[in-house]
Amino acid sequence: MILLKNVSKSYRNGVHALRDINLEVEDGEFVYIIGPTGCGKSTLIKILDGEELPDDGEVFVNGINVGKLRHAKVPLYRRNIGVIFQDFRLLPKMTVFENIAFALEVLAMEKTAIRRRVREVLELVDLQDKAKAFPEQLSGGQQQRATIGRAIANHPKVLIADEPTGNLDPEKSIEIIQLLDKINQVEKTTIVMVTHDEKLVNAYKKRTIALEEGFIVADIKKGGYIQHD
Amino acid sequence: MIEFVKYLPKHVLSALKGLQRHMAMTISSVSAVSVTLLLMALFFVIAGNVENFTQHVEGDLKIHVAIDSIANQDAITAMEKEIAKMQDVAAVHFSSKEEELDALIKESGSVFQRYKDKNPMPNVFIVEVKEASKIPSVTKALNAIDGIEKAEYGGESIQHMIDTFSFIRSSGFIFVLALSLIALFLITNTIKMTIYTRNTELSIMRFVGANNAYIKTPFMMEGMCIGILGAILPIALMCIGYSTLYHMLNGYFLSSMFVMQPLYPFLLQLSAVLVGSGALVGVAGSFLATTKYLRWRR
Repeated sequence: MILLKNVSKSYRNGVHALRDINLEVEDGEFVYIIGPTGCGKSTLIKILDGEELPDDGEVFVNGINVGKLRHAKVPLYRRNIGVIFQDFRLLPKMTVFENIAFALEVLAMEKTAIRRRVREVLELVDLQDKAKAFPEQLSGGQQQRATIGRAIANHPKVLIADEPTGNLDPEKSIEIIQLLDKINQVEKTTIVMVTHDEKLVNAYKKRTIALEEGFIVADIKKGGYIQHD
Repeated sequence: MIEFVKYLPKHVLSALKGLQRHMAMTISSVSAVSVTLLLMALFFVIAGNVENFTQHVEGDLKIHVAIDSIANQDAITAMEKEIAKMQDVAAVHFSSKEEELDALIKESGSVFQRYKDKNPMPNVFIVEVKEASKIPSVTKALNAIDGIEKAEYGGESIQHMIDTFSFIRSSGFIFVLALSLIALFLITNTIKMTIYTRNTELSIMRFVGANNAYIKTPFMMEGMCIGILGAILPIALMCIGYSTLYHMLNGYFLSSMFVMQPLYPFLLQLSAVLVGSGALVGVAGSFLATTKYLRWRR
């Protein structure tokens, strides 16, 4: 479960990225966070994955107080969540297989167990034939699927996706959203996905939270993109 | 700690992989390390040899004390005891006039054989001092003793040479020290650069849940490998160069007074110093660079 209580965050240059955010996401939910550029979406993601600390308020993910995490504990926390980025962030000098395996190696898993799980994941994201390829040899959609594979490899309870379709064409975007949907159904993973892909939000309706200038302006349980004046 | 040992083979492997996959960066840091270590080796060789020269020349410095020919055996024994008791005197040896003449004949040829019947040489004491710098004062004190005709040493020029050597030696070691610091700085910087080009890698590792020690260890191993690889070329050049020079000069530099450091164990010590400082500097450089980067990245 994700719980934000009165969370505010401003940056040194005076930008108020988030103002008094209250939000609750239940286990197994699939939530879109939408809004125009500069509305605080990315800051919200950064607070959820421990990259930024809130100025005020409390952030709980799976019962962990993320707002009070010490620097050294951040990686340990991240073992329980999966993060997907718009720019993929795969290790460039490792193959797809090694990239996914790396997320499991840091957990001190047995070698054979790692291999088994990586093969499972590769099948789930449909990249079996690209296991030995380096990220630069893959298309954008394939790289994003590899990133998703890495994020879900250790069965995280929460998956945070920062514009996962931002760099992809519409066709590939649908592929990715279907994959995330499948993960949400099969693994019961809570998914928080930041996006401004209007078509996607309308086509695959989920709970949608709209941010604007740091405030939550709408929380639509039945989903759909809200129109601005 | 147990975790560290358990992961060690994996870290070594990933360090080697990292070196191989970042070949260009590896080559550039290894060559930077090589150049600085080569300079360091050069000065190490010079300082080590000057040290040896000085010790040799200093060891040869003795005061030649001629005893008055009228002194009898009792007086000589008394004088010997008196000199031995003096501060700064390390040892006194008595050498009779016959021995002195034999030495002269041996050194300068059989022409001096004819003096066998009428030996003009005096009885002497050979006095060794504890420190080379005390030679003039000891000589002066010896000259003041009754029954001593004349106390002499190599003279001013020897003293100048010793002063010069001790200056070269101390300034040489300061130079080596300064150079090592510069090498550390240069290598740290090069390794920092290689790590900064890989900073996305570091942050991604943190994102996937690797703790700081887990991220740092392979980088530190890479640094160590770079340091050791960088030491190979200077060691090879120094071994070949120095042994060639040594054999060419038969172990003496310019004159027989300057005895060069024998090849063994000098080259072994040199190699150990180079490998050690290369590895140390490599590890330290990687550690500083990764720590600095990881500290401001959450």
